[in-house]
Amino acid sequence: MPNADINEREILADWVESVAENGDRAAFARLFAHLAPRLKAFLRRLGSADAAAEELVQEVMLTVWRKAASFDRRQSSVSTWVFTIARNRRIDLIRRESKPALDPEEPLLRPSAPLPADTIAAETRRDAALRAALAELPPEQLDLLQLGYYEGKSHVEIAELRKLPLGTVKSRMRLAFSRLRRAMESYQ
Amino acid sequence: MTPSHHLPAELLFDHAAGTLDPALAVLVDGHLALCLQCRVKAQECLAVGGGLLDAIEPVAMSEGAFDRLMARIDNGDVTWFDTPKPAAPSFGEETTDALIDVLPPALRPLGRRSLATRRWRSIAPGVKTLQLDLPTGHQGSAQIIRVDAGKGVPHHTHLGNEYTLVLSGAFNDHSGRFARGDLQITDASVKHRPIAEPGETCMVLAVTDGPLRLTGALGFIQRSLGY
Repeated sequence: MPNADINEREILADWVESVAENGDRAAFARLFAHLAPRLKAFLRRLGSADAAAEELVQEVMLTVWRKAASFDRRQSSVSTWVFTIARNRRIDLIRRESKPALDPEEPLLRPSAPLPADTIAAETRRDAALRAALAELPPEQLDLLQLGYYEGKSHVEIAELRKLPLGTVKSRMRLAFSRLRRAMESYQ
Repeated sequence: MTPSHHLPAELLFDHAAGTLDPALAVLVDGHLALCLQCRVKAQECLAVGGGLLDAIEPVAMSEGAFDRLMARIDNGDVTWFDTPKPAAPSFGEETTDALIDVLPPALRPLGRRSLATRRWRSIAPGVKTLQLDLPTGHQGSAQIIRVDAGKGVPHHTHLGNEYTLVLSGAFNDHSGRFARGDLQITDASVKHRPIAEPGETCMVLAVTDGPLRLTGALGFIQRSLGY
């Protein structure tokens, strides 16, 4: 089990909590140094130009600062929390293009309902197990995940792009998730 | 009661990646609200996104990016998260339609908005539909179908896939029984005749994706239902 990963995860969570509790700018600077270049890389791959990606990173990090108190280390890692913020922001932008007068209560703009705490056991170890499992995923399964998460392709678009039958894409997704889930469950 | 028909991997995947068509997103959110098992899976799929974010090769931010951010924070800049609500949310607040009671809370604003701007339309004896007020310009469509106890939806097929989430009551068709929280997915090859069980009105959220069909899935469904 990669202990460095576990430590890094805990340190990131400590920083977010320090921002929430004390408005700790030094901790926020360290969070920014770690997260912003990854977010930028992520948003670039999703198709944003350099300047637009930087602006989105600024908005996501502004949200991290403002909403730090809503982070709960028992529910998710900092990376997952920040990924979810970026995802929601992206969905929101797509919405606005098609419907400017958007209802902010639209469920899509909010993260999914939180999980009851008792279903989330040993989240830290699970997360490290997930990272290890991601690194060992067969290339064709990792390719699907990257197309979806990094490049914003739906499963239907992935099938077209890779010239694969839809059924093949679906079964690879099932395989990838069940593999990752097994890895996470073994550390519960 | 725990649903017995769940979200398939590809919908959990598109949900986590944020690539769902708005109509399908409503359906997925609706099922997640009613199904703890899928909520746990959805959280795992978001964790995959977090893991991929960790693993990505970083790209340097421009000079002074952090200082500019701190200046915005000191300036009291708001994010989209804090953007004040437009003056619309009172929309249909007073509605007493039974639909609102069976919708998961997260979907109620959408239900109220739809009831305030659309009307229930009768499409067959004992069967009414209400189009949901979703962003336009996307491929999918979403409607509520309300079937009186014991009544059936006429035989129909559709272009693309049809996704049906049961909100109240239960229905049966050739493939089985579907009750609150259950999700049925049928493709274009399926011709079915769902019948509501006696005793309770069956309300479902029905979404079609109709991918890459220029003729419009909705028009076809309406024609096949005899609008």
